[in-house]
Amino acid sequence: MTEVSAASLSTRFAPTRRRFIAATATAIAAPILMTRNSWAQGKEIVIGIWGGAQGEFIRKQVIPAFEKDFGCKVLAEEGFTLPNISKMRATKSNPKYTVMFVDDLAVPICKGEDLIAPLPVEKMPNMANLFPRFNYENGYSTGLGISIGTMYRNTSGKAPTSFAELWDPRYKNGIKLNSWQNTSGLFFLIATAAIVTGKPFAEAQYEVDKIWPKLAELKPNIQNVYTSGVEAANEIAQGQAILGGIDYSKFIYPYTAKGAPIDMVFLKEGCFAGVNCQVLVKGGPNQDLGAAFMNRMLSKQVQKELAEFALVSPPVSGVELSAQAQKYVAYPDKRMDELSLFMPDWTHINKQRAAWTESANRIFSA
Amino acid sequence: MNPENPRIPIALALCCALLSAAILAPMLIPIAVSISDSMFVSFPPRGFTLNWYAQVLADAEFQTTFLFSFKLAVLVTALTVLLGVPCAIGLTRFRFPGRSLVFALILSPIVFPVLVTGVALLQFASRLGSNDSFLQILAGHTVICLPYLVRTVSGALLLVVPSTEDAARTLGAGQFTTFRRVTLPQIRGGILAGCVFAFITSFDDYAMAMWLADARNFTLPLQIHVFIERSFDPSVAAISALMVAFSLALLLVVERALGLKMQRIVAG
Repeated sequence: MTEVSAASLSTRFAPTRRRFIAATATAIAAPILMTRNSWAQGKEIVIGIWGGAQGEFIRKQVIPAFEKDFGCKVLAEEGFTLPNISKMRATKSNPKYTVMFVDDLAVPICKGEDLIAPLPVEKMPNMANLFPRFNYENGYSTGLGISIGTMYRNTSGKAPTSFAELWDPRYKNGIKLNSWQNTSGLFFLIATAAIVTGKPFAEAQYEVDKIWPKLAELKPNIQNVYTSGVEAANEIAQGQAILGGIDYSKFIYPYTAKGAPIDMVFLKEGCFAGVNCQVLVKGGPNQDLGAAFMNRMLSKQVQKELAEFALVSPPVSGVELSAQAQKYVAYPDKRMDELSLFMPDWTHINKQRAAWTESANRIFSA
Repeated sequence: MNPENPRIPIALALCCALLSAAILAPMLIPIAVSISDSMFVSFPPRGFTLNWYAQVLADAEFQTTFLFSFKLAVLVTALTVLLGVPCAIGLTRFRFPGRSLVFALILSPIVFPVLVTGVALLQFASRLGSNDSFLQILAGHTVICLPYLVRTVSGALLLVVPSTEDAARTLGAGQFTTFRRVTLPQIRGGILAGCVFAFITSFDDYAMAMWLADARNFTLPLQIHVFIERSFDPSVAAISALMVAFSLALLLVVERALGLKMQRIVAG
């Protein structure tokens, strides 16, 4: 017994040069690793995230790893852009949220209402990899994931090649149109303006007032105007309609990837970019921790995993995607340009949205 | 014709049957969809499987949110009774200035959209400096459940025979004893009906919880919405079917355990 213990002790403490260096390095590094994020120990933030696959990934993968690394607590609430803005407004006097995820259209609104703070770039080194087009309002928000916004179809039929074909009688009662109440539904009004004026989306978005007679002509082809993308995708996959949209690839491709007969349709006029963004709530608790979380969201590792799980494009450079994910996302920025991924002028659209909605409702409720 | 059991006219019976079918049919659809052996929500269902139920019942998020919603609904119901019964008695038995206004205020959550009430409560709590989501949601649900209980108990109180209370008082019973032994048994149906409405309203609420819930206090209807967003498959229908079954079971338990006939509960 004594001999065994002695041998064991002798082995445990036998100093070789390699062991000595390793032990010394560990001894030096351990306090650094332990104290690196000690400022965040025991802190808590509340963040508003999206639902769907992105929300599931963030809740189950990103947050647990972040909490472990920082010794903190992150409480995530799943929601949508407009309710998230309303929550920020309602809690403005005593902010509850630190970070909020919203669509790109909401960033100018949030900034205009003084709901958000400029991002602390010095605390977010991963912003260095951000494609400039996904830096919003000069550093008030970054993109997090980009979906392709276009029409989608049941693959049993022939795909159209232009938005202009949607007025063809062969689509009679065969199209499910996304409501303009949804952000992605507004894209169709811009696409119609492109058809009416013959101009690209970038110019046509300022001439939507000219589309109403043309939009009324589409009415016989519209089966219904929907508000729930997941339900519409489900119905089109079952062949209850020929085409749907405009909607985001993040709702459609998960079905495609499961083998459902549904796919996005890339039309010659181009596609729209649906950009999910992150903002830092002005005056929200523990801003440093919020910035650290936002920085983590922009890391290449998180962006790779998020893109492959939720099939959205990363807004940062240098992400190596799997071949499977590469089929479904527009990445890198060169590929986004090839697809003519258009990002609308939300400041203009937000001002016009109520009037556009009223005009479109008048046509489809008549 | 037997005056005790009058025969229902055929036209009325037909009308009732049609009305019942219109009310019940939407509830039957999720039940049918939930047994579909397909990755899509399809009606009529394709094939037969109970796998969606197995998947849902084993889901940790479903279990956690179901338990939270259940506990919340129990607490809300208890709080509603504690506040609602005295309130109904006050409004029914006493005449005071502003009585109609108080009654209208208590019933107002039924008139206003719950979404509006929810965001107003969130703003109010924020101005008070409160970030306690549980207290907020408890208060919010109590506000929207209170009108149902006050209505049913007020109705029951109006049907109480005043002479029975007078007799008890004449025979020497105190105010509390008279209430406990004479009034309470007569309004028990109204209280129970209010409890059932309050429980189900709290358990099913989405609009209020959307504003006031947080990650620690997340209700089942919110979780169902999360499931729909993640993947619109028949598991969502299975959850809906389970909620319908749970509500029906609750009604049956109340009826059986307390020996009440359903029509008495409804009539108060």
